[in-house]
Amino acid sequence: MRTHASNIIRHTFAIARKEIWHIIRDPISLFLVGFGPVIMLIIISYAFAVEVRDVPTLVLDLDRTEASRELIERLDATEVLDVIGTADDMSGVERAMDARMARVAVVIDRGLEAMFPAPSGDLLGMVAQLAALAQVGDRGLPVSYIVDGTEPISAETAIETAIKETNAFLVERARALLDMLPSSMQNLPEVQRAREQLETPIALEVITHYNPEEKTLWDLVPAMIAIVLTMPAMSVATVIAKERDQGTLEFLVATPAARLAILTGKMLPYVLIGVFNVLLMYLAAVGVFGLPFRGNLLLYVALMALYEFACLAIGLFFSIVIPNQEAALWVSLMFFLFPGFFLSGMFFPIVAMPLEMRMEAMSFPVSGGVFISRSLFLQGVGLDVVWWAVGILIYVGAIMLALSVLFFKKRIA
Amino acid sequence: MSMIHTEALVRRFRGGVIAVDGLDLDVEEGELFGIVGPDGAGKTTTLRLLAAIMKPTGGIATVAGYDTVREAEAVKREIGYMPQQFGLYPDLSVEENLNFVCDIFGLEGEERRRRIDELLGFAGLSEFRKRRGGHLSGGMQKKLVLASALIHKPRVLLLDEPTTGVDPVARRQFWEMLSELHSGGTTIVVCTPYMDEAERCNRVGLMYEGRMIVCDTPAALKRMLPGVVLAVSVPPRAMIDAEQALRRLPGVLDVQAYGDRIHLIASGPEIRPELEAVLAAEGIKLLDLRPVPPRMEEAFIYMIRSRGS
Repeated sequence: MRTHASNIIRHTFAIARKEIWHIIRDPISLFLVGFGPVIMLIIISYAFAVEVRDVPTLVLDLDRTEASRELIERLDATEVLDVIGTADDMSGVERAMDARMARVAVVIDRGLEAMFPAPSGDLLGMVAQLAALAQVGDRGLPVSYIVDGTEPISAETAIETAIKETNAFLVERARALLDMLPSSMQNLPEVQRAREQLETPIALEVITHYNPEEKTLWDLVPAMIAIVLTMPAMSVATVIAKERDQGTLEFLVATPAARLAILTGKMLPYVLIGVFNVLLMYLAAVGVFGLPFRGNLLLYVALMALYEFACLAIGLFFSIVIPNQEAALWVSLMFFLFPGFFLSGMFFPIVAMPLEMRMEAMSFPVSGGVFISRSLFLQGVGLDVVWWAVGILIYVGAIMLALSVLFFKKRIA
Repeated sequence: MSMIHTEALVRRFRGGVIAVDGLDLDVEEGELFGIVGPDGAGKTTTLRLLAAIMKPTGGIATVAGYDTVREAEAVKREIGYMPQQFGLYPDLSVEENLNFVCDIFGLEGEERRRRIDELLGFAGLSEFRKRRGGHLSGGMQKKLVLASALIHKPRVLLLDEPTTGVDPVARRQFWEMLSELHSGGTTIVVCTPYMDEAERCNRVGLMYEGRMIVCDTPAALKRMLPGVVLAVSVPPRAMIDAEQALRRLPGVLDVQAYGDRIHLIASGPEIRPELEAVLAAEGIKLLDLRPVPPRMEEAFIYMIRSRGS
């Protein structure tokens, strides 16, 4: 006998309605599934939002000029770097780094001041020398940085800050010298060309897109939204075991309710809860953490609902193959949370992983969720960029639902 | 054709336990059929096989003309099944539980309202519509599950120990419901540990170690008991000694104590002189001795004991 499509739809809604009653009847779980994710988002985001500040910095100044002192002052004036002292030679730097007194060392070699033209009567010669500064490049600079890499996040931020400040220092000092030329010379083509050349950065510069102030939080919150959305999937992992434990599964499987309908009916309310959670977390991200939302909100909610569906399908599969509630909860916890943090690209970029690991990470649905969430939130891109992740989510969701239907027997073992 | 038909039905579990061992059974349309037997005899497994929620390892079973393996979902449309455990949702109210089953069977609108009212009245639960399933008494829970199993007017009812753990008044009410359904033409198969319930059935099958060792009307089953049943009365303090003494008596097939009397199954009434002699030897005074009509319980215990030895 074939079960007709209308029957499946009717059974799906019958099960979904019953499942909603269950959730509403239990105020604690209602609160947990309804507000747990947004609470987790706020707590975890605050905990992980590390702003790098006051990294202890040691200076070895071999130039000992006005220019080198100016550079050191500039570095010290930043929020990220904190100049704690000066060393007399390289071994002093090594000792301070070994003792972890300093995390960053700035070595200014002789010749920094000499890069700038000394005051002389040859004003055009000075202009030529300033223009030449633009061609120095980072290899020609008599400044180098040593960084302690044991804490990669603060090391990276510190070094980026140091490079940026050095660039700014060189450009501003050169421009100041050009400004000091007599006004009769300001309109000379040589001077104007020198100004133009100084527009481009002198040394290698890091240009940060999308998140120019490099707020860790901005990067973290959208990723975290995807990770905490796995919470409803963990609840779903226990639903079949729960029916089995309370003895209702035996009654249910003796009715003509279709297998697919029982499973999709159990998922449906949790997809709706997921959508509610996404909206709530969107409000928290924008309202509490001040993130800009640059994408299309409707598309964002739709894709996050798809992502929730893929996670739920996996949770449901666990629920079917693992016969007890506790074990099902643990398996889903281990599956979603730990790889969620480390394999999803939240902390470690997926593109930097070795190929096998990259493939593993890509097929892991949380990675897709993190990618879509970040892309739409911060970059404001659309389907043209995230289509492949959408494809993976559809694929994973469909496969897991199919496996669930296959493994779910309307029989008592 | 029979409403329920099985041929050499076998269910073997992992680990080698054979719960149902070559069951041949026919239950006619409109029959009220009881299955009795000790724990572990295979009663629950038999009902699960008939409800098409368990696959047999051998043999065939058809219910309402449908094969329980190939046409399992068709079987499920024809049956109402009541599992041994409370089969409904404790966090849902009486009405919600029934609404859920209506949702499954597609009963809508006026038809649904009428059916729910009718069943609540039938089960005596009309005043408890809003009460949660888990807050009902044991007897009311059983009636609610029965009402749920009846939503779609099934032709066959399969009931697994529906009155276990229920007080005598509720038990009687439950059986009044079954009688009404029975007279309405529903085929009912009920597993029960209670002999008085077995006695209410048209036919009773006794299961033992996965087999149905006898199957007949209650009257015929009682006639299968060889010899006579004698009720022996002795002073209360001598009960235990008397029971032991009587067991040693040749020609006695079984001895059972019932409060102030001892029932013994003997080959014939001529055992009386020997019986008096045995009791006298123990210094026990015989107060009364008379033949009594055999009860189902005695018939079954005798049959199981004679199998066991």
